[in-house]
Amino acid sequence: MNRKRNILKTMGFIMMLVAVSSCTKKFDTINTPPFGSPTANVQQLFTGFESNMQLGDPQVSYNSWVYPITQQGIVYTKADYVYGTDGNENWVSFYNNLSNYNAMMGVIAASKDPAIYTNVTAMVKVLRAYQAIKLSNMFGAIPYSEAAKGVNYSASNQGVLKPKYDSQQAVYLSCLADLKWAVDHLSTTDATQYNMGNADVLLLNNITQWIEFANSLRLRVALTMYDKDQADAASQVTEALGKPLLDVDNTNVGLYPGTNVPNMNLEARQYSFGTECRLRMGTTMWQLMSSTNATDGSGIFDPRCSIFFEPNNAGQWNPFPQNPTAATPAEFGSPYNSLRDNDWSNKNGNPPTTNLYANFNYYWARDVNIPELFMTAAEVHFLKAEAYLRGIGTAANPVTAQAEYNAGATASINFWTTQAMNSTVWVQNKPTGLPNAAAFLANPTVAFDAANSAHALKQIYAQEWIDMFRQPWEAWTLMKRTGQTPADPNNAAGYTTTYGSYNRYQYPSSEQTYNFANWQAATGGSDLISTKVWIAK
Amino acid sequence: MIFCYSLSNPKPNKCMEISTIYPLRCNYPRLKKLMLVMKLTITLIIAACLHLSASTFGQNITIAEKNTKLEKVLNQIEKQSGYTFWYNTELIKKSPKISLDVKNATLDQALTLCLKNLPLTYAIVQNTIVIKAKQVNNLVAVTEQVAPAKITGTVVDEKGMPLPGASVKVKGTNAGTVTDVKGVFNIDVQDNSILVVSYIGYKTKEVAITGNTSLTITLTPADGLSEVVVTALGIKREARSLGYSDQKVSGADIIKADPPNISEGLMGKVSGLNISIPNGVEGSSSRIVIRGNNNLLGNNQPLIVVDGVMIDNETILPGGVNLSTQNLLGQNNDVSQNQPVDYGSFLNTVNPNDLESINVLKGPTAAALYGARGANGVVLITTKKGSKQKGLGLSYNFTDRWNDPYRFVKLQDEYGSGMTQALYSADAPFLKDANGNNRQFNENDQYGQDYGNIPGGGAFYNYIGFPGDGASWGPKMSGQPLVWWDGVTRPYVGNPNIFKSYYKTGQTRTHNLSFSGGGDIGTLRVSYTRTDNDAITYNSNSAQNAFNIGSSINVSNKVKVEATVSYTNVSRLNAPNIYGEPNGVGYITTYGLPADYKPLERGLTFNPDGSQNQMVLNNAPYPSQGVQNYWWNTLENNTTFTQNQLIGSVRLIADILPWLNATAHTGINYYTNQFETKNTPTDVTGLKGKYSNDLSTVKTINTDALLTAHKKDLFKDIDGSISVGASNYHNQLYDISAYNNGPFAVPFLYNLLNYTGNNIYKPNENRLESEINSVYGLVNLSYKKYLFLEVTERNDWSSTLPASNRSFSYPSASLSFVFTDAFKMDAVKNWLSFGKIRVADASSANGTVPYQTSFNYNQSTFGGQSALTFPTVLPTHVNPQTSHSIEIGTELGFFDNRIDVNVSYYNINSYNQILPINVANSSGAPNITINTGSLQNRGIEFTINAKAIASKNFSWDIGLNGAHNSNKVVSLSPGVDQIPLGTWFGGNGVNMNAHVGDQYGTIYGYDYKYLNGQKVVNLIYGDGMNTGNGPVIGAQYATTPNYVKIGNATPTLTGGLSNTFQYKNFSLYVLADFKIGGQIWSADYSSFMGQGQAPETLVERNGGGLPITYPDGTKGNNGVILPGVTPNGQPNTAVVNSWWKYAGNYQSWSNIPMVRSNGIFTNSWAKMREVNLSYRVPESVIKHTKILQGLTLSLIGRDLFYIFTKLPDNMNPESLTGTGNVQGIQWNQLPGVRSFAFSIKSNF
Repeated sequence: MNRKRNILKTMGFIMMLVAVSSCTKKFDTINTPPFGSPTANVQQLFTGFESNMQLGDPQVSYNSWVYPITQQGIVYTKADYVYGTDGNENWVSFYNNLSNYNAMMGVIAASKDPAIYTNVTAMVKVLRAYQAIKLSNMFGAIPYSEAAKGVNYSASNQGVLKPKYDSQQAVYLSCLADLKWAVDHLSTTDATQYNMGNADVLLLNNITQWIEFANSLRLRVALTMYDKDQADAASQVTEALGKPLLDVDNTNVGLYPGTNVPNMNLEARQYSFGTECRLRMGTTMWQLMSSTNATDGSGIFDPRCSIFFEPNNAGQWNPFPQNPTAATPAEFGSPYNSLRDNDWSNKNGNPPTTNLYANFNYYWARDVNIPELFMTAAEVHFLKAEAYLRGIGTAANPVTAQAEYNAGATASINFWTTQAMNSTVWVQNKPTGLPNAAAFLANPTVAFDAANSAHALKQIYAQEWIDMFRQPWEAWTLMKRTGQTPADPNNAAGYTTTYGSYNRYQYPSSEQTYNFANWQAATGGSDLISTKVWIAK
Repeated sequence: MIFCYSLSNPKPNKCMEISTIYPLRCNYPRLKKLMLVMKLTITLIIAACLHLSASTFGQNITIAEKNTKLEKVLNQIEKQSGYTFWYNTELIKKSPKISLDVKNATLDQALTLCLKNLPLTYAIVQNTIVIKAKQVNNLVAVTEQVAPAKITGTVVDEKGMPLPGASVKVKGTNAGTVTDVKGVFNIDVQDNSILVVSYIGYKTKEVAITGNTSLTITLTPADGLSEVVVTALGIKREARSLGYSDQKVSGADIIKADPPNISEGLMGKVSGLNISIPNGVEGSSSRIVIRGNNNLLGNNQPLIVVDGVMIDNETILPGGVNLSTQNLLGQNNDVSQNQPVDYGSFLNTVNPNDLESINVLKGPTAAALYGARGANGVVLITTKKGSKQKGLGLSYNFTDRWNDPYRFVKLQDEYGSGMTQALYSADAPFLKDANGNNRQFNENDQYGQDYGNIPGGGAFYNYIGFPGDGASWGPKMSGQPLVWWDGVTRPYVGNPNIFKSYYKTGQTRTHNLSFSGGGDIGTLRVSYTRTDNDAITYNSNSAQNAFNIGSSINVSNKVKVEATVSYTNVSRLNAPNIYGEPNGVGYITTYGLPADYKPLERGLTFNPDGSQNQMVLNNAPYPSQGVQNYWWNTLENNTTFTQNQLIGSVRLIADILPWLNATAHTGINYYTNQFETKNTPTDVTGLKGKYSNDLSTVKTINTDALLTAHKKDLFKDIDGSISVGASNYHNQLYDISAYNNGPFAVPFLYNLLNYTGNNIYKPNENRLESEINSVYGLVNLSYKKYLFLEVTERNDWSSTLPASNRSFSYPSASLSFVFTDAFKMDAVKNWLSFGKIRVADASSANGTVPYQTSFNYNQSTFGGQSALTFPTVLPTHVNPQTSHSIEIGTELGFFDNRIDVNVSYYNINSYNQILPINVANSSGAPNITINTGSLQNRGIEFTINAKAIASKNFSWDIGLNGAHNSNKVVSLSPGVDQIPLGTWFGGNGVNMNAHVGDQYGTIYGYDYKYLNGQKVVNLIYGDGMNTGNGPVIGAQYATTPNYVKIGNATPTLTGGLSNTFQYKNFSLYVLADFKIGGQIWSADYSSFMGQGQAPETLVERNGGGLPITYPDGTKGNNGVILPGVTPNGQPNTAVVNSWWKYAGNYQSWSNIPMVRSNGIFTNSWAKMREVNLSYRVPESVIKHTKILQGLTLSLIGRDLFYIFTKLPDNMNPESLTGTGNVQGIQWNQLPGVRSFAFSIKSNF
């Protein structure tokens, strides 16, 4: 009897042990990450996508490398920062966004009524095209059609970790198709369409502007590839010219920290103008903005000059030679030191050294309103000017070209003047009104050379290049595809020696390490910065 | 039986062994001497007789007599056996009649039964059987024969404490019982029966019942090879029965030389246990690895179990950050920048004085029952539970230890600070101050305007990267008057020890007071320890209060409770910051101080009003402003770390039935870590200050229960037991931190809300939670006490794995065979006294760290809108990671176990590791968590303990242990050929990678590039483009285009050698430990060479080079030819300034590829780790004090010196960066520290 009861007790004890320990009910809760979300809705993914389009850390790299390459600026000594880090970081944010895009398409497809997301789909396609083209211009061929599918990994589906590369042409065609789809599907009238509202921090769900942006981007992309693939490009240009563009209502697309994106984190911008920033005004830009070399600035005719740059600590407009020689006096000043917040004139820094050359305006570091630009209305004018001048997708029409050129230049000086006027921190040389456009356009350097279309084209590119002052990567693309952006002829060989071989970025090392076969196929094993991308001349 | 206390008898064991039948009572001290003589006489005779009886009695005797005279029965036996009886006839005739019924009995059996109830006994001398009265001695009278009696006894250990659960059997019968929780047993026996009393870990003892109805039976512990060890789940096993290695270190051995913590106390004492403490900084965390690294990334440290409470040894970091997670960073883990300030780890706060013992279970075999958490091995810590003591039971220990930073890197002190000026002139001029006086050379100018460029070339850092302020390529120091940066004129002379002003002698004082006692109800020990430490760096100290209560309580006859509680309170001000840039003391001193360094900054840090002296701040004395804020930050930016830790453990042991017992255990480890930082305002108004607070709470609870059924003679000669158990482990961390970076609203007020301006300081949170449930079973079989088999099976459910893979099980089996007991090995008995072989085969499986397996978008807000972005680590459906180990070992005792040898060979394979591997970003994320990778650890370990001399007044004990481990990366997932463990300065520094086919921890970097077997030298030409135009201005070795293997950190042999000498009341203990093989890449050495600080860089500067002409036309013998060929294969003949040889080829912090193999060293060393000279005050003296029971005084030395080391220039061999998996890189070393201590141990 007793024994039996004991055995039963024992058995009961064992059963209890098993029951207690195999209880895993709470495990799902326990293992739920405390931060982040396992699910996402369309809005969150869309805003997440846009948040990934901030310039962020690559600005250091632009300031170190891209400005001297495009000649929009110069650094007095070659940068310590490794060349191409901006490429790596753009790479990371693009593929993260590509995953975001795929996830978003999944959420839309699974929703009750996917049709209400047509506008959203078009918008995100535009954004994806913008980013894909930007990345491809930096690298050339990129993984695209097979990319961002790692989430589907399983032991039997390991290939998703190693996407193949698509040629730059394929990427361009795919993006043009997306942009066309967007222009064709964006609807300003369909009230059932999901309204992103302020969660679309780029354009606040302004569908009209989205159509203009999509269409303008199509124009830019088509023109960029035109010299390589006229057949595909021309028809896109034609269509784009026939539809509303950003110049219609003078829309400048970008992330506006002061308004659309409150509390946007601008630390990276500040950092990029930090203590090791060696940017100075170069002679290339100076020659386009001042009619003389007078260091008192008396020759300056371009109102953007005193917005983009500021004189040296002695108040002199002294550009650093774009292609310095051994005779060039060395530069040591530190105009981007934070002491200037309290002591604006202290461009020498501490410990004090002498700032000899005019530098990028310190307001670029300090301002909290100036947008991170995607595309300006001025650029659209210049693109149109180019199309009309060259007769791409439309009959050649130099008159229209000139009108667009003038409109573009005017839009540009007004835009940048307005930025300075709107700045809350701007004190020194703050413009008080819009500049005199007529006087500017009359300047011999600016005035459209209708008689010489080749020169006129260079003028278009030059003004476009100036307008892209805060989009140096776009200026680089323009330089690559045209080969006709401004360049200082003095010691041109010096440029070739120093920056001439920088045509693209090497793929991030993770590609060579973890996606070797496809990397090998795309590069032939020689992943060189000197290799020209497809769109390049 | 002879009851001899070890206090009075130096060799108690011997007399026990040979006198097991005839009891003497010697617990009356006065009778001791007399008894000793008798004991020897009698036991010798009897032992001789017994020996005969055991070997010659084989006859078959059959007798059936009832109520017959004894004489008649004896006659029959005489006939049947052929033996002759010899006896006193009177004695036999007096005997009562007996009954005897035996069939085919041996002579032994027949005689035993025959004389069973008679006051007679027999002995056999040759063929004669001697019958005599059972009167053994004059002290214990033979009692009258009594009928079957009830015997009550108590079984106690050598200290007189009851032994519950001891087995008491009547010899030759099945009757038996076990003692209750008070060690008491009751049994009915015939008089003259013999009781066999056994208890695990103690020598089995036979006790004759001679009329006593109340006995106290004292068992003595078994000797070394059959001692009891604690195994997984706290199960106590006899060492001889273990089929795997379980090395025990007693608490006394650990604290012998007053180690700052347990980790250091274990150094050199356990084979295969590798302990590293970066720079040996007191209070910093330790890295403990048993045998080798089983995980490619993540945590490779063993589980710590304190009285059943599971604890890990993670470094304490702010923000609730877990170092395992940092290790998972892999290639993003840059140890040149990511090294946190180290506030220690759990083992720092366990009070060594409270330790009973530590058992190290090595590898999955021993840890099969700890499951997932024990895959890296287990360190089992048992704290003292108290015991019955003489006197008051009070003990007080005190140690005072001085920590002396004495071993500084040797640097040159002939040439002062400077970088490139040495390239311009043999006699480069000093800079001039405003008054035209020479001033200290390169103030503010290292990267500056005067010598920023290479003569004829570009900026120097484009050739050699970025030296620190320590660069000492300046002019020869010969006492020239120079205006220093502070405006004072001083002679320009070298500083023979630039490090010294940053360190001072540290001190650690420990008071330990404990009370220990015991009685019927159980035992209790209460202890309090106070430790105060003042570090070797400035403004860094700590204080620790540790309260510990350990008890063992007999709740009832069948239930016993063991409970321990410890509460530890640690308060630590500013743990030494070693690596931090710019204020780590290691960083500043190894990278930022030139040879002309004068310690001026400290005195100039403050203005008279106490605010920060901006003169130091702004007139940065050194080019990259390294030291400028060091002293302000060190003295005025204070972080106080406070830890309050409570560890509680309750174990319930119940004997449900004689064959069934159960234990239940709950342990909790709850602690809070708080970091409070107060940065004194730098301004006199008290507004420019900062404040932050970071509080984390960690709670770990583990509960387990085990039910064991055991049966003797389950089958013939086989004892067996079966256990089933279950456990639950739950771990939770929460951290919240916030900071206030000011400016303050109210001056000098430190709280989170005291700020002005528009800043909004948001708090940060961190959480981690995981749970493991388990069931397990064990079967133990023992055959004739020499063959033992243990089989286990365990099933875990881990919350960290995907739902369908949460449950996993794994078995283990181990076999132990004591062959010296199994076979008659008479031939070798005289030298081989014990021999055992063992084999074990075990599997283990493991989950991962929390949250690795669920898909989770990253949350943020953008423009005030909710934004989610795609995760950067993609989860997949991972399976548990597993490991499988095989271990073969032997334990041998020679010459009566005077030499014990223990050797193990093991092979551990870890498979399917769960790793967030790096993948191509274009796949959509930079990392994906998958099962990949297989690591193999294969090695051999040995320990040898020998009593070289053992005489009454002098003894010499030697202990040697060693281990060799090969840690190979067997495979990684397809397409992945290496997994980065971490880097030093990323791309152009060095990397540590796990690469298929290599040893774990291979060091990668650029090596020399060779052409036809010759090193390739790149000549640098005046046009800066290396095109071969213009004059040669410099030369540098070309590097391989890619990283190559340049070293491996895995040591070949590690171990320790201890010697203990005892002479009367003096004892001397000396422990040396050693590490042979294993390479490091020394960033420090690379810096010292690159910065012209290493003495090696003097050769050419002091005229030992080739003649060169400087750009200014001066001449000197400072030239070198880098041996090798130019890229076109021609022998290099270019003579360049020796600056290129060093600065151009070594510089550590460089964005230019450098030959990194230059900084690789085989880091072999042996160290005098522990020395203890003790004097035990003789008892004769103690007695007079009336109150003292014991007093021992010791002089202690720790870390006294290196017996040898392979590193040059006094570099610190134990200064690896941090306790993560990157263990092959040295950076920012501190000086070697030796300690001297004085210790008093007293008992009352």
